Amino acid sequence: MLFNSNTFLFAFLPFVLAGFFVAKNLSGGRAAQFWLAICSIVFYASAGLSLLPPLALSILVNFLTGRALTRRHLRGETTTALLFAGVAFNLFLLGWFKYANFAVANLNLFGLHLALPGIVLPLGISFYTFTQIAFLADAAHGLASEYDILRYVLFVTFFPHLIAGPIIHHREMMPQFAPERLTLRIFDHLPKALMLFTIGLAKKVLLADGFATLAQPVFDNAAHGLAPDAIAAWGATLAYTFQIYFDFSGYSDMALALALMFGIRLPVNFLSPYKSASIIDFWRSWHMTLSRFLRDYVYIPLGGNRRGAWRRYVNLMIVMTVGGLWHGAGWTFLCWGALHGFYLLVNHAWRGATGRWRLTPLSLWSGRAITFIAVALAWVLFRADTFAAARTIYTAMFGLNGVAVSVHLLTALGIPNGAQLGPIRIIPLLAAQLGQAEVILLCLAGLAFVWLLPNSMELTGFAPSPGSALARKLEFRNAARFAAAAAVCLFACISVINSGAPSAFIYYRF
Amino acid sequence: MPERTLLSPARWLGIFAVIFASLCAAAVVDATAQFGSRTRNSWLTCSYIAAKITRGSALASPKLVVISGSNATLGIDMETLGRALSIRAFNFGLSASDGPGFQSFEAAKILKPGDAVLMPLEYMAYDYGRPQDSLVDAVYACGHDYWQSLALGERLFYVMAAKPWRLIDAMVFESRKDEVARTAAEASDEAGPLGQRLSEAMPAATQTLSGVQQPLAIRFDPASPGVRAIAKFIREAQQRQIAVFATWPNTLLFPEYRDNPELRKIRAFYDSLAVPVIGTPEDAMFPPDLMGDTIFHLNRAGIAVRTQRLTRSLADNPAFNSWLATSHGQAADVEHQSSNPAGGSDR
Repeated sequence: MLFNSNTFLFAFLPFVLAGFFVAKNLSGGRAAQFWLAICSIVFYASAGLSLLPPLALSILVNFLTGRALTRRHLRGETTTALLFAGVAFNLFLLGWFKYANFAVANLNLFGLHLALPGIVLPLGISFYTFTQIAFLADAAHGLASEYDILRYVLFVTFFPHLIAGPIIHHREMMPQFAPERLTLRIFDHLPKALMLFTIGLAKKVLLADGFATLAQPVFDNAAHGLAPDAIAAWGATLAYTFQIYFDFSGYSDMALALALMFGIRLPVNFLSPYKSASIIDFWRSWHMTLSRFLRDYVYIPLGGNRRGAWRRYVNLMIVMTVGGLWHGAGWTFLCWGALHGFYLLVNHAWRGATGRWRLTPLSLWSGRAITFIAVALAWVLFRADTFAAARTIYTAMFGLNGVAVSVHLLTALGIPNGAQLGPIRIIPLLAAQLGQAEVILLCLAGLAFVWLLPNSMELTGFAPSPGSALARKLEFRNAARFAAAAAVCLFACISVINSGAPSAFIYYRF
Repeated sequence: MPERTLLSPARWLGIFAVIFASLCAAAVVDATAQFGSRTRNSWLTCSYIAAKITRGSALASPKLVVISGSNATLGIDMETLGRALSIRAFNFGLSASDGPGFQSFEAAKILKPGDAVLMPLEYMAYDYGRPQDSLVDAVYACGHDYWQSLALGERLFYVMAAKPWRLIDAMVFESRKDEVARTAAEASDEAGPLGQRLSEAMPAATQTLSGVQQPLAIRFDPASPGVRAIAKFIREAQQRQIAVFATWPNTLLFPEYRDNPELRKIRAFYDSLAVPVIGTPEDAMFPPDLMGDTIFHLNRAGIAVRTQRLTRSLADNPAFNSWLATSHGQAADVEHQSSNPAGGSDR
């Protein structure tokens, strides 16, 4: 069930909200907990009943392991072996469901003839596995303890975060799931939650899906060996750069908003990453809870930056490669992660060599532009189905497939058919096939949006306001104009949703 | 600056709900008002379809009806084809942007048991998703029956896609009575006696077309509304004893199309529905000098070559020959009965 589907918007969500209000007012917080847990499981099972056994097994084993770790910690016994076993179980589960097909396919390249297991990836397994690994690690260090299975089930399955994050910490969530907290007056949050949900839905439906229509044909063609020209390749790459931004940021907004409707505050996951003036800053604002997980549970245990510069670089490469592989079982994802590891390495080395720069408008904007282009170039690897498709796009971006120009423009400029512009071939293009101006304008609009506007977290009080006049004007308040804007925006989204099939969020695949 | 009047959450939600509900109600009212209103483009399409339905229905069965977009009207010469195969043939080619669902719904109105359908659908039919604006326009003008045949979700699409300013266009157009009549006459003439009007002065291969170097992205999406509509039409036609044949649309030749796996998927799709596929994709691909004004339209010379190739492929196909033999037998029976004053069989 997608957040942007009619079923979710008009049936599931109102039903769950109504049931929650009834449960907490008539029977108290425990009933509300139970209701939310049941509804979350129904939400998950709506994608297929076969998804439930892996989730149930994961929850049960982790709950029991976590409880045992807490007891050992309280008794002052060593927790290392049990923690190792618990983490190994989670990695095995993730490895089996997510990487078995990939591993067998690669082993077969060496002449083995192993049958592909044909395993179907359970929805959200990467997210709920990482959430629970964090729980086990915290339990082993006495930072988390859980003895109530219902609360634990709700912690893992709470539907706003189950499928695509944010990756939550037990210690930041459990106090909020306490029965006494759930019975608080949460009606007050609904206007803000509705506004944030509408902003997220609009990002997904109006922006991300719009950019997808520009990116998809070019990447699909590349997957079939059809090479685009330079303008089409850049257009598709930038369109995908904005698509994934609005898709994931829209999803994150909706997840936070949905949780807020029940009085739960999820951690911020997305904070204008394209405004970052460096790759280091980019990873502090893109998928922030994954970065936090990788820092706390991979980078720091590996030694972090405590063992010298070279060891730090190695650790960074390991962390980012793991992060890449976490996104998908494929070499392109692994290389995307490694490329970002390399970016981070260069960024740290640069900072080490030059010291921290004082941020001037020039350094800020040049840093933003360089970071943006580096990130966009890396998205090609992330989006392309194969290395061959990625190479096709990269080749085209550097002009090696020529540049398509309208025949009318060529005629007007007096350029003959088949002309060369230095080493670059000029391809005459029918006016009917031209969408270049549209793509360029939309990408410029996208850039203005992500660079110049305050983000939804700042506007709804999840993050500090930038304090600009525009931000102050747009900051959410319980005012009639915001109610009108939310209603009009939601109606526009519903119109678009009903004008085509709802599209899945990109991060649902991970 | 502090907001002058901050509302209580209940009041805020109330305002939100009232505005949202009003917008939904306005959309329904707008959609209701749009049905039957004609803009120039929709009236052109509707008159064209009406003329085809009138002339196609007048043609006695058994007959061969071509259902597709405009690649058929500017690709297959029905008069030549019908003469070569000794059958009554009618071209129900509309526009590719109408999508296979609407094309087949309208064409089904002239089909009778014993007829045969040939579908050289354009490649975009196989991943046709969201209806295009021109189709929405036509459905509001003359496709109420089509709208009623759709599933609830698809009907809702048209409600949401109704643009209020279309009503203004329609009112302006309706006020010009002579233009309404002229448009209908133009469309009727375009429909020709056998569903097409082929003139010798058709556009020759254009300079621009020969310069185009980007092939179509052919995609077969079994979950797309287009493919679902094709499958639905085929099943219904087969139930009505109407023979269905598929073939490939005429289009500009690109080497990239060779061994395209999507073309194999299209063939497998028809195989799964027991629909014989006539010829190969390459049979319908032509060099620029045989093309007309788009990559799907042929010029006069191209139409001649295309029709000749298709005639040969049809004649070589056992399933089509079987239908042909049956239809020739039925036609002979009809002729015999009409020549027998008693109108009965000669036992």
